[in-house]
Amino acid sequence: MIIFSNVSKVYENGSTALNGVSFFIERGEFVFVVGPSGAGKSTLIKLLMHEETATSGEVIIDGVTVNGLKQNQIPYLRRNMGVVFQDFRLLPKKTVYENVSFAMEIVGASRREIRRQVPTVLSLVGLSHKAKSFPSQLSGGEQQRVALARALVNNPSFLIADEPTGNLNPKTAQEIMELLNDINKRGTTIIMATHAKDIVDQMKKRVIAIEDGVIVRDEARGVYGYEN
Amino acid sequence: MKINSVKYFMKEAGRNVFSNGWMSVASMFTVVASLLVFGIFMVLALNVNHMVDKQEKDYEITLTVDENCTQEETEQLGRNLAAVTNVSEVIFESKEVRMEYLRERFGEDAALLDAYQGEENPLRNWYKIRCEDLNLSDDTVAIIKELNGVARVISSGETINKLTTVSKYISTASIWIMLALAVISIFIIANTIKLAVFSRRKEINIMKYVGATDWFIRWPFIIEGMIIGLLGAIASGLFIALSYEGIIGVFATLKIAFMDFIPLNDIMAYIGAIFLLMGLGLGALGSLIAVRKHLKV
Repeated sequence: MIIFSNVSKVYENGSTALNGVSFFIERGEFVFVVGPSGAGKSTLIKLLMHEETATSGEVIIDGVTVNGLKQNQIPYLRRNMGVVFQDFRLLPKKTVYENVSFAMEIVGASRREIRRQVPTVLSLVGLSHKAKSFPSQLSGGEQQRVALARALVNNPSFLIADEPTGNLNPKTAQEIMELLNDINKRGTTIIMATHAKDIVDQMKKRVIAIEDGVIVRDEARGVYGYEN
Repeated sequence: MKINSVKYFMKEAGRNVFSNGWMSVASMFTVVASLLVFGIFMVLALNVNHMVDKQEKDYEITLTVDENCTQEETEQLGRNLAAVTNVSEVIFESKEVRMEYLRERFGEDAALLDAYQGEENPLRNWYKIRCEDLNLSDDTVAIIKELNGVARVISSGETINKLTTVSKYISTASIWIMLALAVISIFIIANTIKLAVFSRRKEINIMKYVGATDWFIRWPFIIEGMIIGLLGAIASGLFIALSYEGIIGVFATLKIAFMDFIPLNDIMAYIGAIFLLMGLGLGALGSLIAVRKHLKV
């Protein structure tokens, strides 16, 4: 479970990105975070990843207050969260298989675990046949699937997606959303920041809307609510 | 540390060394250069110390007996010498014995000395004296000079003093030179590792998102630095060993009295160990400096 309790974030340059934001997300939920550019979506994601720390208020993830985490504890927090980005962030010199297995090597998994788990997630995202390809040989949608496989390979409880469909055409975006939905049905909590009105409206999931650092709307089975 | 991780670190480090190619080679050469200069000074210092030790151990005051002394007077001189304070040992060598030594030294040319046998022997009898305390040897020499029948006192004190001074200078110089070179090597290694870190910053960024610990990210780079240091140490060690062997070979043919070198094996055991430690240490330290700043995500 994720709890944001009256969280504010003021950057060093004085700009207020979040101002007294509170919400909680249950295990297994699928949540869209929407809002205009610069509203504070990215900051919210960064606070979840502990890339930034809250200026005031508390961020609690699975019972742990992350504000007070020491530098050397952050990696263990992140191991419980998969993350995908708009720009995929794959390693160009590694194959699809290696891009995924890399995430397991980092947490010290054995070769046997890796050999068992990587093909499983690759088949989950429908890329078993591309295991030996390099990212440059893949379409955008396929690259994002690899990124998803990498995010999921260590069985995280949460999947954080920052504009995952931003670089994809509508059809491919649709496929990625179906995949995310499947992943969510398997029990993974998904938090997705997005600008994609069509997707949000169609999925009918919980929507948290942020404007100027404040939550203006938080509804189950919500819609995007902005004109693009 | 998990064994899987260790394998991963080694693999990554090895890959970095190669993908950094010429920069790795260049940093290796700085390590080689530093260790070589250091090694030369260290070999010098060790050998001079060794010579000083040896000279001190073998330190003898030699005194020739006046050729006009009778057998009786010569023996009396021997007893008088033994009675002098600080004298621990008195050895008598007759001029006949010394001539034998000389003939041995001349080897095949001994025939040249044939004219100086028996009555024609121009050498003097002599006594060799060892001291209990070398620091008091000057006083001892002064006393001995006054004894009856002493023609000349030959003391090697001068050589020892010179050698001791030289060895002190060399030791001090080698420490300072090493410090300076170590700092230079560390920074050049740090620079190479920085390039490696920079070229892999995307990867590091992803690693951090996936939950890699800072140490997990650091290790491959530290090992990379250590590999560079180690290769440098091995190269410079081999170079020193080969040159040393050659140089002591040359000196051995020259047969200079107090030039007594430490055998190659002994010196290499010592220098080898120090070089390996220094190589690994410089490499690890350089890498640590390089990755320290680049870990923030």
